[in-house]
Amino acid sequence: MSWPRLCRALAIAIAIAAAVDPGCVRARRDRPLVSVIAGSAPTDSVRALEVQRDLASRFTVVPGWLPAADLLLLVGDDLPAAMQAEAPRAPVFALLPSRTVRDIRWRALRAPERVRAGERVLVQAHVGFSALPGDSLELSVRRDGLLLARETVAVAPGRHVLTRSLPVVATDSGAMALEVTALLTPTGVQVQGVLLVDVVSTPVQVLSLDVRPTWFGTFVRRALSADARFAVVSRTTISRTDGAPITRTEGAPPALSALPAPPALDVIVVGAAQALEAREVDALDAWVQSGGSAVLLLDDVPAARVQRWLDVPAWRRIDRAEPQRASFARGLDHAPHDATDDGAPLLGRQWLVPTRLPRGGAPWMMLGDSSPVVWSIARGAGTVVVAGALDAWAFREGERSDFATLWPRLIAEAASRVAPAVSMRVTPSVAPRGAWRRVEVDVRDDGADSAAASWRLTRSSIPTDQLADERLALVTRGDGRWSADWRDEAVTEGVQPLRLSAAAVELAVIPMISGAGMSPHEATHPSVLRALAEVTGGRVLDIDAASALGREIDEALRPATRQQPWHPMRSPWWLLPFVGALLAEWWLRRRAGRP
Amino acid sequence: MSESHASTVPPGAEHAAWLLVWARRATDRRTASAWVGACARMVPMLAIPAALLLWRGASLPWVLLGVGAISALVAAAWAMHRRSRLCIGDALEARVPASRNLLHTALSLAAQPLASMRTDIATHALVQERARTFAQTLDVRAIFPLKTGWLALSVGLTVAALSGLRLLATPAAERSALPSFGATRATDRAAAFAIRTVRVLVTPPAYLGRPDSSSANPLQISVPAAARVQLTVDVNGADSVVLETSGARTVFSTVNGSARAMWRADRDDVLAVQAHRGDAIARTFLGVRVVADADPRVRITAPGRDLVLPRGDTVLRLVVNADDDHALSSLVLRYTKVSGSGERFSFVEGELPLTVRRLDKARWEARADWALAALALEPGDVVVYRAVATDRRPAAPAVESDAWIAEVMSGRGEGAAGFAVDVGELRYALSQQMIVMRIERLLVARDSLGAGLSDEAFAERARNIAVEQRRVRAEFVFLLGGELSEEVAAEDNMGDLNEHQHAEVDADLSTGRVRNEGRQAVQAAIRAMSRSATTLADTALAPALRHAREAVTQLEIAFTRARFLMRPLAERERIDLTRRLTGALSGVGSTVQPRSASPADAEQVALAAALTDLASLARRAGGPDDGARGASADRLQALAATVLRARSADSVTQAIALALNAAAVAVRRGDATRAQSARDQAARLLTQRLSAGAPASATQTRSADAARRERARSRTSGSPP
Repeated sequence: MSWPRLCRALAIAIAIAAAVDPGCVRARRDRPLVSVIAGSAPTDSVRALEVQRDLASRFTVVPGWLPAADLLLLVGDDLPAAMQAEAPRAPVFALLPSRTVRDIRWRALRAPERVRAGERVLVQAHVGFSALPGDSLELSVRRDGLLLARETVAVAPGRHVLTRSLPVVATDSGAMALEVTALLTPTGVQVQGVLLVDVVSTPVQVLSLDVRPTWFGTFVRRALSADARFAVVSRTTISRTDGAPITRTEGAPPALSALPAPPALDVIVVGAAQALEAREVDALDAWVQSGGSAVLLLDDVPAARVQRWLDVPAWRRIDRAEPQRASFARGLDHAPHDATDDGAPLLGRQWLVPTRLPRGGAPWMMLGDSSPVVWSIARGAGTVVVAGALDAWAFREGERSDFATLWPRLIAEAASRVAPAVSMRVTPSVAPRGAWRRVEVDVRDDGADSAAASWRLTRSSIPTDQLADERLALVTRGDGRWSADWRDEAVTEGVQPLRLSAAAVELAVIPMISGAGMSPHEATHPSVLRALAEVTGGRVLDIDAASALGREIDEALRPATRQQPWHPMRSPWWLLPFVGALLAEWWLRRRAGRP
Repeated sequence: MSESHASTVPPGAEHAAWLLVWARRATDRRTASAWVGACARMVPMLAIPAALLLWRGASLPWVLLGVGAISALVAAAWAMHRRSRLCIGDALEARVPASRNLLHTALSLAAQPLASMRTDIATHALVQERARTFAQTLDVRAIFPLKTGWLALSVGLTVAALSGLRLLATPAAERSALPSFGATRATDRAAAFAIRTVRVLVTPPAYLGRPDSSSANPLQISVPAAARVQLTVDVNGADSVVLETSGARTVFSTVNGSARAMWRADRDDVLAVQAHRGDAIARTFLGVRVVADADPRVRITAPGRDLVLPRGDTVLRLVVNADDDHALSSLVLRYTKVSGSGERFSFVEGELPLTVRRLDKARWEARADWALAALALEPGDVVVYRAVATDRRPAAPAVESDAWIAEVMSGRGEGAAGFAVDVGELRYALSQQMIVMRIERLLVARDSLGAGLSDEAFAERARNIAVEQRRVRAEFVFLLGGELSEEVAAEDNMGDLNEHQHAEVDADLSTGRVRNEGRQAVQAAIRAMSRSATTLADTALAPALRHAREAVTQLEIAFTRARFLMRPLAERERIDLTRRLTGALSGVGSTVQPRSASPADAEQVALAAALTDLASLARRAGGPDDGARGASADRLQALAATVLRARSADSVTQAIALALNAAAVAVRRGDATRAQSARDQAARLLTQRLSAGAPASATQTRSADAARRERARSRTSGSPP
């Protein structure tokens, strides 16, 4: 048979097969849908691309977060925010970074959300990184490109988690954007993050109320008066004549029966609180329930009415021959490695502590045997702080204790427990332009539903004096909570305020950053990832074992192999051999000189 | 013929002929290779000026850039030459039409290799000869017409190149002093008003024997203590020049655009030189680090311990070593012979000549064989001796070594109990200064004896001093009328004060009832003595010494500024005792006082404002506008002055000011990298300084949501009344 005939026969056969449409049954493996999510480290994106390329032949790979995927693959040790909010149902695989490759990421990056002007702000950085011989880690904090703090640490080879606190000072009011960088030298591998600190300049409004003159109350009041962060008014009952109190006042303190709610009055410091009368306890309790903070300075065992108010079953008096030191409890102590906080906080020989902390009580300062000498308890929307350091005032010299700075700090802590009437929270507070943001508005007091109709939530573009405010729609979420979502389309990068107002009265304002794109993604502890993987039926692999990833996914998902009918002629590809055979036949024929 | 030609040759014809020959030779390959060789020889010619420039302080990249530029120019000229030689014939024909292609033909033939010539050699020679003859008739001015514009441009470029070369060759330190273009164009006043140069002449004190040293526009200098620093400030059209230091502000007038200021270096400082003209101010700063002349050190290395001698005619072999950081002046041995016992002592003082060997002017070694027989010592007598050295400082105090004792053993073979007198007498003999001295001696003894002083002995001596400290303190408590009965009775508790009494005094002080500074100072001294006694009991000598010195300082304040410890009351303030306990309770009423304003820390406020300003300047940094750069530099220097005013005598503050000044200089010169680096350094130091004095922020905050939930929970569970 000649070649032209062969081609002709092939074309005819294909045409006949197309007309008949033959079918058969064959085994076919399912292609699972895999969602590949890259972490925040600079190398994670590259690794994610490599993994996608490797898996593409066996799985349907989708880059990014897809909740409906058959499997979620995390490249890096970041847990996406969506997974933190709701545990995924699909198996989670995690490819952890190699221990031999230089890598760096935030474990945590923290700073107080709100501070007062003039205060020292500790930027707490927990950095996880892999170092090689000769490496050193440099942590730096910048504001407006200006270097405020820097610390360089020589590190040994291997994987580390380093915790450092870098102090900066809030010098002026407004939003303070701190750019934090962790840099591995000499390679230049680095990770950055931006923290937003709201600096307020309004002083803490303090009422010093001494039931009778005491040295404790006097010296605490003097320490507060010497601190520019506090605006102190005082009333001291120095005597009683025919039951009427003889008082000595400084400023214009409000009457106990008409205490203004915060923020008109933030903290009440009560000296000789053990001698409070019943009506005074009632007035204080009502004010604390409305959201204020009261600090009770005890000179002796409290009267029964005060004891009942504090819900303390009994008191224990501690008398020591030598001065004892009380230290901050966990949570109130400054971060480790803060060289500025190494003094002796509180000294004393005589202490008064509850035999058992009331329910909901939290220790603030404790003796070595964990006896709480300063502690707090929540009362309604407010807080009561009780100080049983009876003779701490006698050790107020600067070289022996930090009396002059400790009590302002404790009062400032008490003031920070005063919840605002309206608070707002933006997530994420630092995001690139075009990102979706959500603001959540919470109201402290009841009965705000009716007032919410007049609220106006606006965000100002940058700069604020050039573009008109944009009003955002608030949606109620019930129980005193509202929220609004919007897509950030800021024209200019920088800090922009979000304001909540009602009838031209500003209720709350919160800053946020647009366009920085350096929100501090924090790495998740490997044990959390392992637990998540175990719960969902996934695995945690080292990046070095990525070659076995396909096999591991197969084992985890076990994609089914199904018998499916197959009709080859229903594919359009048969046209190619059909046309090819016709062309070849024509060409061979013409070459041979035949028509 | 040639002569007639010579008579008609126009001026410059020889040059034209030479040009023709040169052009022809240039076409020869051998000539080209010679050119390459010449270029190769240019390399060392360029290397020599490059080395000179580097030696003068020019930066290596600039020099390499210059050498590269010159090489590129030469290469370009060579390329143009090669290109033009092909066209030179056409150009000559265009300028000299009378040639009728003769010159063009000659050059074309010259450019061809002989082997490729289509004409014979004779024709070639004939054409060349005629072309040469014709070229001698050419007018070179017609060929190269001189254009005034090109001439001016050439001169201008040459001047600019020379100016650039001068700037390049100026050392970096001097170059910074040159008025920058940015500063010149910044403002009108800055254009004519700037500090051009600050020349510093340091004259060390004469006893050092060092020559004067000078420098121009330094940012920081180190000078020996007591040196005279002469500043010569060259400034354009200033009314006056002000030299501002941490302790003084001195105004100098300018003469012929120059002012001369003198300053005696007695402590570290930053000198702010400000030139004033009307409202305009030009500033520059100079950091001065004063290196103090240390006291000499003198030690008796042999025998180097106390001796108990069996007889009084012993010969002591003494070795004394002394050294100084500059030069020693004298070294002698002084002794005191103590004879007698009980309450009868006699003292004889004397001086022993030493044989001094000068290892160099700053290290001496002295020896002596001291025959004690000359002192006629008897059993129980004691000789106390110490070496005394001075350096060359005028009126410098003599420095003594440790004093050692040589005691002649008494009959029973026991050493005397020293100079212990009756405890009661000692109480009155002691003073706070002596406590300081005793602590210092114990510290020196511990350091010099090393292992020789056991821990027990050291602690015992420290405790003894603590007891003495308490007694001194008791004297002053008595002086103020304090109640000492409990303190004397309870010796163990004397390290602490009666806090209630002190709190009452504090209350009096705070309300202004006790206005006597002397009383306050004595109170402070008593407190410092308490701390000293406490730390001495813990054998912590360093803090004890600090507290003891503080007590001395406070006592000096008390007894120099306010000698009257008890404030006399004026007649109208006198208390009328007849009215005590005679009033009616119904008349007692409440008092209202104004609220005390919170005193802000002025230094902290000033430094915080400086950091804020620096941040705003950093935000605006990097602008290309020279005027803005000049304004930023002015602002940075004003910030430096502000920081210095906040706390001038502090070394950190001085470092901040110098960094700000360096940033200003860099900004003015348009050096963005250095400006950023200097700003960063200043901001970091400012933050460190502010952090040290700033209160810590609160650790937690509470949201409205948390408060509402807490209230709901307490309602559910119920709170106690």
